[in-house]
Amino acid sequence: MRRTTAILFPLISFGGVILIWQLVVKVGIFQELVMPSPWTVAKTFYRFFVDGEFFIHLWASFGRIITGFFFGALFGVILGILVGHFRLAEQLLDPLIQALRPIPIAAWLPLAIVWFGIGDKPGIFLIVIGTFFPIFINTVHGVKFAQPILIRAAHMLGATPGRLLVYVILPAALPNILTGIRIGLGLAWVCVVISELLGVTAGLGFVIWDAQVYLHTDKVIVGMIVIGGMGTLTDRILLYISSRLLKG
Amino acid sequence: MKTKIKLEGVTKVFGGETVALEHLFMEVLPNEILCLLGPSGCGKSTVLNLIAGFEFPTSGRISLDGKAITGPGPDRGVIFQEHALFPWLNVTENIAFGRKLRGGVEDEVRYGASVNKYVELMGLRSFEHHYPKQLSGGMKQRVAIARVLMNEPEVMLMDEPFAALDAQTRLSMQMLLLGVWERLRTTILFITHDIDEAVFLGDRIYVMTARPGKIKTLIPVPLERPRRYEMVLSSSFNETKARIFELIREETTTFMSTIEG
Repeated sequence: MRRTTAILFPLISFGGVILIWQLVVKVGIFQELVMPSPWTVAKTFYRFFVDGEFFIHLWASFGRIITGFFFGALFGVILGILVGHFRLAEQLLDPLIQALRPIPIAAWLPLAIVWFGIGDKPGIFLIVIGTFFPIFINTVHGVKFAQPILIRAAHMLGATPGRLLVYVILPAALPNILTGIRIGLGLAWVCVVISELLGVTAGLGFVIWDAQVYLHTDKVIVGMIVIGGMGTLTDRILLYISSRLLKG
Repeated sequence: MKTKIKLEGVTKVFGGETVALEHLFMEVLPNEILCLLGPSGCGKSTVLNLIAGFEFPTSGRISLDGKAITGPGPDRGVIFQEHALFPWLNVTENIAFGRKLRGGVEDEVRYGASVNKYVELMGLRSFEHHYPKQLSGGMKQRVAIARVLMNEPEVMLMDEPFAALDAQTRLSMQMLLLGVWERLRTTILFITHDIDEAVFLGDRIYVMTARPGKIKTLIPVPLERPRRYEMVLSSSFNETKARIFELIREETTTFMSTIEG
């Protein structure tokens, strides 16, 4: 029963959205140019796929995400551990990081282009910034608030300070770190689309911005669907990896 | 006889005003099971935390084998009221974890052999690969005890370890603990608010007063070893119990309501 509803109910919600969409187009409130029908979008999607555009743009965006996400996560986890565990690091770094945090991702774009010119680099920079903050904050939280009783238990078992950090505090913080990484990956997709507004000729974000200029609304929607689908897919993969890591 | 643990005039004040313990004297003898009995909030857990080295006395001296305690260490194994097992490690890994935390060189043969010894001793056979969340409360405490025994501690400090268990499981854990103690003779300081438990397990019982915590009386338990379950029906068991009950009744009436037994 639960299995059938798990498959059936999403079909209902997706099908419902497509149905309403089709109805809106049929009623004719909008011009085809502004609101293409699901069928037109499906045909565009097919061409986008068979012409090989899909892979070119996906690969362009994905390459930026992988690089940016890797460095963002690396800095986020390392600085998160330092700030969460060492009081001096907290006093030194935390106020600075908290002051930078409220700056929206999009506000970094002009500076990114001034610094890194055109090409992949501004986008990668944006993704590093975007993924860093949620991963940093969640890592700090996990390290700082690792259950005190587990730390007491480790102390009474004779833990040395280094082993306490590596074998107790980090594993205890792992669920939080993984939550941060998951939020970070979601934001990486946001960042890549924003960054592809300027200075690139390939990428899923580029597809959207470029199609909009030529009023290819159907292609805008295709780009959005692909971004949504890939974002969901990468999130699911990460969720699967997390569940394997958190077997305990 | 030499003393194992000695508390001399120990006072503990929290936040500059709450006096948890006042000028407390106490001795734990080698190889005995010493029970510390008192109502909730009388400071008995504070006594344990001070001996464990988690906290430090405001004044007074605490020593193990004559040496002052400066912090937590593997010579004093603690069994917490809640199991405090590492949730990401299975039973075997939890038991062997002490050695790993101390940075000991991993000697597979000895390591494996001693883990096995305590798995056997605590009746954990066939649960070796279970994770803590897959275990019942009683089984978790068995792992917690095995983990501490693996360190071959000088003393085991047990902080109401069976209080959260149902009556039947509690009884079987008490029997198991007595069986293990008969074999290893590890010195045990056992904290409880349950008079029956204290009399059944202990060689001697320190009865504490309500806050500020002090030792009211020391009562030797006149039951022979090894303890058997039928002893709870004996007259000496019940006389000891009645004596403790009377002592506690002398305190205050509000005191009584917080005591089980």
